[in-house]
Amino acid sequence: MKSWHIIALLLSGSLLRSFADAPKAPHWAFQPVRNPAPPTVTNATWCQTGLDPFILARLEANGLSPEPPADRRTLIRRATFDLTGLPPSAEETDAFVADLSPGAFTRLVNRLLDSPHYGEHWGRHWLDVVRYADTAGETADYPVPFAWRYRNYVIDSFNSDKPYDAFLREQIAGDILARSGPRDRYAERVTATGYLAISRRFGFDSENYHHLTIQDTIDTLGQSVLGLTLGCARCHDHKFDPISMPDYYALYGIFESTRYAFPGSEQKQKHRAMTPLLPPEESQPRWRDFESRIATLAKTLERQKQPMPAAVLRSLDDLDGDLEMQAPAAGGSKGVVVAPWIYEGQIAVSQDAQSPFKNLYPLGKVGGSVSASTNRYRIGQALYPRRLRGQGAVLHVNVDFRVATNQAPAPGRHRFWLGTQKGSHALELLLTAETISVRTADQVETIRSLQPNQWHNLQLVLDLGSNTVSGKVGLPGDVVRFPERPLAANWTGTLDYIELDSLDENGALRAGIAFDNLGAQESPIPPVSTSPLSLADVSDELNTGEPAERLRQFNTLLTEGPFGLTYAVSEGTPRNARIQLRGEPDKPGDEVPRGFLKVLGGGPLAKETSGSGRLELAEWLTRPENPLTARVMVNRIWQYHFGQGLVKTPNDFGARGQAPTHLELLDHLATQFIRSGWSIKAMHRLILSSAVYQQRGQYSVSSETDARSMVSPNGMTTRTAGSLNTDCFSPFPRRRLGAEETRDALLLMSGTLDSSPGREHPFPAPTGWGYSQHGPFSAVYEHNRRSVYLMTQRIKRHPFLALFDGADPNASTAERRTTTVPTQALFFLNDPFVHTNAVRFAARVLGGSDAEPKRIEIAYRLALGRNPTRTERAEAAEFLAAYRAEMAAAGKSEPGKAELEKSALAAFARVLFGSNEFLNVD
Amino acid sequence: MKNPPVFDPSRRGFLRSMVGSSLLYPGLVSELLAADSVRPGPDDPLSPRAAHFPPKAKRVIFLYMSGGVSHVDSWDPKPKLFADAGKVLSVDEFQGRKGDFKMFAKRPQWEFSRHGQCGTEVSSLFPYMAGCVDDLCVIRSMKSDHTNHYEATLGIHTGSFTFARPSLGSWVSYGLGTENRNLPSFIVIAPKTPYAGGQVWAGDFLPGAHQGTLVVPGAEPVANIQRRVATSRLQELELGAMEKMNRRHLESRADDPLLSARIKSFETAFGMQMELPDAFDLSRESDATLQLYGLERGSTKGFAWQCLVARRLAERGVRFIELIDVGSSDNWDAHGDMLTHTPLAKNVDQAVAGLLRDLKSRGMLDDTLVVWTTEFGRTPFNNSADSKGREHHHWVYSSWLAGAGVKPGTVYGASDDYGINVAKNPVHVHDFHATILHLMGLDHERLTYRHTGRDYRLTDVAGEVVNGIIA
Repeated sequence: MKSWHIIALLLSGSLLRSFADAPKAPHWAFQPVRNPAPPTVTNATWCQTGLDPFILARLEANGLSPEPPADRRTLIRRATFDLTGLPPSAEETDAFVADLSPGAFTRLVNRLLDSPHYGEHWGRHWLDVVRYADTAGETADYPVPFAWRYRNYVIDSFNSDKPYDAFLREQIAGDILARSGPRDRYAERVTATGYLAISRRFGFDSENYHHLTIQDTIDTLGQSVLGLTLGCARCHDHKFDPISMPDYYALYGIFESTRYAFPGSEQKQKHRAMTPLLPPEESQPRWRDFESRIATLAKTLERQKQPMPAAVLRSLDDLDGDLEMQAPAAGGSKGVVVAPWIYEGQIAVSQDAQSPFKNLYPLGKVGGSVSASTNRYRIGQALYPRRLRGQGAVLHVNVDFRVATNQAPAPGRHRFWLGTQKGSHALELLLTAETISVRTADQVETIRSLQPNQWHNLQLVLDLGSNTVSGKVGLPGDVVRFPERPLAANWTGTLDYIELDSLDENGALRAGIAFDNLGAQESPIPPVSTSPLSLADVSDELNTGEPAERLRQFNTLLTEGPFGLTYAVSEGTPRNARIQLRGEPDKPGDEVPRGFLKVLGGGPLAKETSGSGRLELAEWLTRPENPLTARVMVNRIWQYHFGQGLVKTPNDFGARGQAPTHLELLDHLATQFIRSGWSIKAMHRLILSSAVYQQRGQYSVSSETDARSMVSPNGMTTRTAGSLNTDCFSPFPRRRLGAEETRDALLLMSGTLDSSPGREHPFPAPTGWGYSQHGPFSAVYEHNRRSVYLMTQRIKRHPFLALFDGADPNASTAERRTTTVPTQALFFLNDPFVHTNAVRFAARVLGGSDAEPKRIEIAYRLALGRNPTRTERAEAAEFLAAYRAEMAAAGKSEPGKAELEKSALAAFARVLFGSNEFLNVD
Repeated sequence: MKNPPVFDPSRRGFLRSMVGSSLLYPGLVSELLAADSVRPGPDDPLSPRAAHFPPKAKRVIFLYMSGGVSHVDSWDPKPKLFADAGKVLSVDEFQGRKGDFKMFAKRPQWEFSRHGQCGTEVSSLFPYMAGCVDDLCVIRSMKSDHTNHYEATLGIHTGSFTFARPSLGSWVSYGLGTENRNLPSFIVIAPKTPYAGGQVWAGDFLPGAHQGTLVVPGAEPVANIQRRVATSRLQELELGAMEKMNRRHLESRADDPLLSARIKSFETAFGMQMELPDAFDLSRESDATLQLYGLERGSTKGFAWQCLVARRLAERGVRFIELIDVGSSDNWDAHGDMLTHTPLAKNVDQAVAGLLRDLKSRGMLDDTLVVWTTEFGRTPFNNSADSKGREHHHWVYSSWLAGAGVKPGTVYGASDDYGINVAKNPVHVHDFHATILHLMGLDHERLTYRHTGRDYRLTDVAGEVVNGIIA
């Protein structure tokens, strides 16, 4: 140990210093990606691509030779399954076998990469890694009707070969990127942030467990993008990797500054803050129109005494909705105000504080209040996007307030202001029980007197073109306008924050205040009223029909919303997080500036950063010099082709993960990946054209293979025989079809695979939601589309996907563990799905020919893509005869009947479906 | 009129002779077994595995009452709660909310009396189980971490109160494998889905073979266990043909152990198809046995059926059997009225007592651990003096253990005078799990699984074996 190191340890007073500060040789994965020269090999002619020498050199060093090339039949089946998750047809196979022209394999690969089925298969790999699910995972497992848009975004991105760095940037900060155009990619980029929104939710009052959701986001971000397990640093500095608690909470702050769509929960059985697929300037006017239709229809229905749906969709970015979400319900809310609000002091949220005015949020149930005994408080929220002086935006602001009567004189004032989060005020309004006034640099000017204990409405119009504000304040029938006046002269010119807080904190008594219906938007706000909008606005279509018909319209309107929405994130209120001691949010430690992992060269966000820091994080993660991002992804691509990564722990490149078997190859691929413009399809082309990939499959295993080497310490079987060979990637390892491939292949065999892309699931309409832990959401939706489109739930797994080792919908799945259990065999023997598809398969075969030998051939070609051998023909005929005879003997059918023929062929289909040849790729 | 089915012995005989044994599955299998070409591989995750130290119990029957059984109305007598009913008590948390709450002590609904040689007090809610106290170790100092059903249910099953983790049964299966490969190692019999759904018996990151197999009482208790083709011989023909294909495929693939494991799984499935329905077939149980459990002949309803099937599964070598009495609604969650405990108790009481007596009479209680528990207790108080129900209470509650390795006829731990907090010898859920694993011969600190760079265990970073429970 170097002496200065010892001194450092002595100074620290502890031998257990965290790795974060300990000077030592950096772990391999944190060192920059190099572009190593290919090693020298003896059998250079074997090599077909730049990657081959790296594999060959290792083989030669171990005194091994590569396997000879696979036959063409094996190769097309391997490539087709690997790229599309589906088998090739017999015709495709025959054509490829016959095509001996140069470039035949390249053309095959290109055809497969161009198939829309490519994205469905490779998108599924990514969905595994990001633990995609269609439900939220809290105690009632609320359905997320819009999650499918993210799923399809992933599939489309793979199909269009979106550069991987752009793919990541969109998923982390697509909502921010979308604002800068182009317009026709707005929806796509917003949808991409479903990556964050699909984080798991917890508890029955999930807003109180949002810290666990952020933990889930960071865990998945670390594993999926960086191949690092960051989660440990939530409670303590990482024991093995140089990741400290401050590092963790620097990231935490970024996500705490982000607003997640709310999927609904047992306590609040409605979803909200879904993200519009339109930019605000287009969505806001339509939202206003939508709201007024809803309000009017609600009023009509109320008059007709129709029952109102319990769950009402309120999805646009509105401040008051955030307050509504704080509503305590019986039995569990901790009664805290959560993000995006920032607050200090005791803020209560209750029904008592609901404003009577219905011009803005007619369906509100609660408001906020601060009692007279609270000396110091503030409650505020960021306005997004930020507006700048001179840019011409007009912002309409609404707030209702009620200042209580006090027994004693209460000179202390409340302040409602807009400006910058850093405290530069564009406008300050002061409130007491008696007056509302405006404060400027040198004076306080009364606008009007107020009635104590009465609700008042305040509306402001901030014109950032002319740099002025005008407004009106009062109650219905008694509104005082205040004329246009300039915004504060010393204001910095940025408008990104709105706050209500206390002035005169020097002990002056202040009356209690209630506040509600906070809104800030770019469209005008209707005049104060205790009834929701005027009936004159109602369009005819809504004002006709029977009450039941209106209710149906109401439900439809609420379900469909004003425009396309998606499950995404948006910018919240920027804030730095405090360290949570031992990972407990109610034990706050020091505040940590938002920023990035120090071990990867990160530091705090630049001072001038506005917003959460997600865009900066996305850019930081995708810097070409980031040593992990490219390595982790090329390793995944390699792994999905060869069954094992060059790093065998694809989600853990840290000290506890395994070192790469071929570091230089990993770096070679990472370099190629970045040089190709992060093209995933370029990686496929490179890998598939390699001699390594085209080797013969795993036919022969040396007799000395030690059985124990096939079993990991966990009792898991590794996929190939012989550990030495496995690490040498020779021969090409056999693999069993995954759950999705198995189901898709069965549907394809029966001719019923619907190859159109899936869309939304047939979830019940949100207006009818009332799921709880006593009666959680639970459904299985069958269809004949590809399995990537199956609805996957979090607290109850899809029975088929669970049985065949599908991805974990709750945590990142880096590799599918193939297990062999008898219940899988029972599925092939007895499941109605297998039987139905076998009967359909039999019908196809029967339709193909009248002659049994030909039928046997058709069956083989359909299922296995090849002709049967002479022995197989004979055995199949023998089987069919025996089966028919047994059927007849058992009195189940009469000899010679068409049904008998079909049953026997269906049985033969099940034999083929259950065979290892059908379910394995060599 | 339809023709009656023709039974043609000569034709059948012809078929047999034509086909020979080779086309039919069992014949083929035995042939192949004789040739020893199916290697019973170490790659089978359910192969029996040695325990860390000599176990006291070979198997577990885990009885789980869904919704939160009131401890002060069942296993934990509180004379002061009777005496001080209506008295105002101060607590600093109520249903997850912190604060100063004034609560009213609520009188238990059922009277307590001493039972057995040991004199353990049990209420009249469980008259049959009370008759078994000499075999029980009642724990009156259980503690959970969460006041909500979902989290507490997840906790008592997986040790995790938030994230999905492998279930206790999966850990035991992973640690010990199974004795009967024709049956799953971990079977859950539940008529309805409990809180937290399938996570309760999920293997999570453990190999899939360790996940609980769900049995739902009714026509087809396990998915796909019923043969769908008309006769067994038809299925044997199918299996025989598949076996042949797979053998030939395997020959040119150097006996890849994964391929042969899959071939073997069809043999196991074939066996399971026979053996599992047999375990559910109670027709040969005597009247006396049925009466012991309180089960009507032919009925598959209620906990009595579940308990009797559990005994049959235990006999057949299933490692971990969990019985869940009811689901996530209409359960022990007696917010509105404590009397809703009555029918639920009636459902389980005689059945559980019957199971204990049956196991004992067969000598199986010596190597079977029986666990009775719930996710939490119920508040000894409520926020109004006339409240009929009780709320969730995880600070203290009661459970019991019986059978292999357990000190019989004892009480472990105690709650305070009102049953509000643990007064003596707390048994946290992690301790409870550590103790169960210990009785199975497993050290909870050594039973680990490497996942995402970390060695996970059932008890997370906590848990101590409760030696006071162990005989």
